[in-house]
Amino acid sequence: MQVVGLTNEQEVLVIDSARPFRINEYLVIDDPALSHPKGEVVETQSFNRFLDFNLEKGIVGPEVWRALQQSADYDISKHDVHVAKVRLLERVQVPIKPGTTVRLPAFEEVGGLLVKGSPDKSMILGVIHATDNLAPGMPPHLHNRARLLEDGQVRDQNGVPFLFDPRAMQQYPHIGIFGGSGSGKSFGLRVFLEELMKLRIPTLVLDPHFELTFSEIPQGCPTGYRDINFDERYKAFQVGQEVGVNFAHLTTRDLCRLLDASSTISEGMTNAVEALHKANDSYVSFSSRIDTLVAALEAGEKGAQGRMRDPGASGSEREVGTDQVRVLNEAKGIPLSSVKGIQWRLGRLFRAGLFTNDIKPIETALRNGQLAVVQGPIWMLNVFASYVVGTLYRQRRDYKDAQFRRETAPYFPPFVVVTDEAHNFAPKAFDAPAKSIIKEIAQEGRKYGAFLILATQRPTLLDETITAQLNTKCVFRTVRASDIATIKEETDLTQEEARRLPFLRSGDSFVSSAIFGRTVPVRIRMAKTSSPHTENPFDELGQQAESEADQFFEVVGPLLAKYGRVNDAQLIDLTRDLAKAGHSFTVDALRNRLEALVEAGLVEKQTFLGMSDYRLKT
Amino acid sequence: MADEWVQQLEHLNGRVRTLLLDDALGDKLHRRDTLRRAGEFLRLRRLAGPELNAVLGGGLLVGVDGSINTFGGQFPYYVDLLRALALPSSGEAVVVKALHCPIPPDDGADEDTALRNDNEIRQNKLAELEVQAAITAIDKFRPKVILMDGPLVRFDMRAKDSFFILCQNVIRDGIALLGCIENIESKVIGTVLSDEIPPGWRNRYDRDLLWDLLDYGEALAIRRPAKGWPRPGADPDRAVPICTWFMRASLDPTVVGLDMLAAQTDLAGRCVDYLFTLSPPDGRGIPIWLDLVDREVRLTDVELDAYAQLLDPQVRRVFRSKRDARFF
Repeated sequence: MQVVGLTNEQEVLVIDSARPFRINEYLVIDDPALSHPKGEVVETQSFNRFLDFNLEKGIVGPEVWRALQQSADYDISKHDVHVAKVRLLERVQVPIKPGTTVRLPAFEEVGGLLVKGSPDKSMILGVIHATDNLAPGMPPHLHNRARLLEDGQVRDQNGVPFLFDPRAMQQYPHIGIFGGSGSGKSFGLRVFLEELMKLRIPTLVLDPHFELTFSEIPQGCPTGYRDINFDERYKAFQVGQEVGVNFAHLTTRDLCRLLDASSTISEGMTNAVEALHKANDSYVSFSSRIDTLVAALEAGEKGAQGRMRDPGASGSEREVGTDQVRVLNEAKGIPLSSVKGIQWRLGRLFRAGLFTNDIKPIETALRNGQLAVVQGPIWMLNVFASYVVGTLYRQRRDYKDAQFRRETAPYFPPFVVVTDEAHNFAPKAFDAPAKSIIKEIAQEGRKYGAFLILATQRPTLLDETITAQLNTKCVFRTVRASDIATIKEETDLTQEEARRLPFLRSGDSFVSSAIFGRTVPVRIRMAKTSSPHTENPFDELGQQAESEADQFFEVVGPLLAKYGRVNDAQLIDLTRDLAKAGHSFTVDALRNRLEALVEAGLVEKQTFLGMSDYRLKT
Repeated sequence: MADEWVQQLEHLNGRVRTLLLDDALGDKLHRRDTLRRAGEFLRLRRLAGPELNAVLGGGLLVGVDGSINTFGGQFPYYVDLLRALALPSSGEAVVVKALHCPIPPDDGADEDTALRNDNEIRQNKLAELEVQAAITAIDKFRPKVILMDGPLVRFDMRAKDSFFILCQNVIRDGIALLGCIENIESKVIGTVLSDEIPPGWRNRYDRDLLWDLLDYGEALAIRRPAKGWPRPGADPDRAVPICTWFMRASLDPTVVGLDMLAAQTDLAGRCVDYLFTLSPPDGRGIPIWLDLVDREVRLTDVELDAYAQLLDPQVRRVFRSKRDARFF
């Protein structure tokens, strides 16, 4: 291998006739004067001067080369010349001397650039591309740390593992995971979470797809690969069932935000909530106050007073009147429409079960170093996220602030917030309930030990301030031009790498990180768990139909046996017998079911003069 | 159109047509009949499988070619780097090199004669190198087939003694020696037919007589050496009669010539199917191996320049051509 052509301080062309170069491979340029600069292959080409593309001269067909190879054992490929464009990892003072020898590095020469952290304390996310040459020289503790899934086959680690030490996040906080559907982004996120669980880092996961559970074992997972019992390391909660909002803990601002998330609220409604919500209000006390006010406003002040003083009314009715008058006094000038708006929104949240529980289970999970997965429909998750993330962050902040002031406060651990579809939680250009708290953590979280991992397929739609704070970005295949433009802007991906983005294989990614100071191409490792939704819905349809047919046959089989044969006229009798057995069918429906059994080969059908005749197949 | 060339070129169209094309030499059937008196039409086969393996039988194919690379300007201010290459299908090639520079020029002779003589000298030198390369290759590789670039008669004329040794050696070792002629400048058919030659065919080049006559994959095997052996003035004891076959190995209607020793028509004749197999249908109709050798034997500009740098600057200036200093 040697340097050829026009060189500069940053880029050189290298040729080799022995073996083709591989993209992202590391090479050492053996110039002692420049202390052996290292470079990465960013573009590769191969050329054979006997297989030139020249339409005018004609092309020598493969049969001629084959004949030459067969008869004289002459292989034309020995004239192959391989060319690589190599970008130096660090600029040098003067252009590289053409003709300089180039070689593959030993692990020690580039190990420091590739491996930052120890595998036991780091997240092992995958394997760095084109590092298989370096693997033999790796220290033993870096071997066999990850497996890869390629073309459906499980493969052993074939290169340097990519380690991400979460402690580096104190300096370079937050991670973004970008990639289109099918790019391997969801698997990537899963691997991140598995590694967080491995390190027992308290983590809150917002899971709008109900897919981030960790009990299923992926198909073909080799024995021994799943070295952790993830069941003990995560807890899944559904908003409205296991977890919810403790109404009594809500501040007025939180309440406004929740109502707003339910459906956008007007300024009038905000004023109304501020006037009506009291500290320590429970859901019951607040909602009954709203209901009372609605009734009072509908009755009018006079009506309420009249009721209060009505001598003919019962004591409790008079009490209602008294309440209405009091509430009216408290809420002077609030229009009925605003109060009704609040009433409706509050009702929606209540019916969704949001107020029936609290977030204690989540707090407990985090305190235990577990991963708390919160699942729910996206609108609800958005509402809940603003509350739960805000609450947890406040606890952590209070603890740290107290520590700074040398006061005591209840301990709350540092934690990571992870979400898929992050552009829904923190969208660019418009507001969402959780946006402000996510933004706050993005900007200030690191000093309190709160970190974000945000995954999205639309980085362009993610709030820019937040995107800018993501110090590590893991980019999977991206096809949309606007997203590629955003990624180019927000990462140190080179032109060549950006050009490759639409063509990355599923599971291949570029990790652009301030920690590494450059982009590292990584094949994400095989996950040790899998999504619960791996069954194809269309397979499910077929299976469902089959099991229904089986069940029906179990019922109708004995009856057919009894009848011997059933003709069209007897179908009505059969429906009667079936009804007795608790299965009601119309004649048409019964006929359809029998036809399905004929198709399945369980029942025989004969047709004579337009009359059909069904009997059990013998 | 006022352009004189237009008129003259149109006129040329007609002249060439009546002389060479449009059945000027008789229609195809007639031509084939006449040619059957000179040789035998063969149908060539693309070899495959065991037949293909059997040609070399594990032995080697050697291609021989030479090149003259010149730097400098007008006669006599140039330097020729002559090189002959015998490239085996496996193993290190045999390279034979020589240098030629006409300084000082022949006294006595006038400029034109001197230039002509000098060209003869360098061509003779090159032929000698090629034959030497072939002889060395025989010793080194014991190949089954040696393929020379150009007609064998060229070596017989320009490097007589060495060529005689080469012929003796190939006959001794049972090596098929063939010369492959891309641009046929011979009149073999005329001399073979001699008295039976139809009027109008006399003095016609083989390539004109055979133009578009052979089908793709067809050959004309002429087993008699052309008349005139031994050539006038040559030692009759050291005569090496040569036969020329023609084949059309590509879709191009021009044929190529295959020279072989008259003593080897059986041995070398058996190789013709193989050479056809090695010729790309879309190419020039010569075996690909000669293309490879041709490519290998030429010096690149960079190499030539590197050699030129070995001359002292003052000496180099002697050879510098004004042409090289042109702006465009």
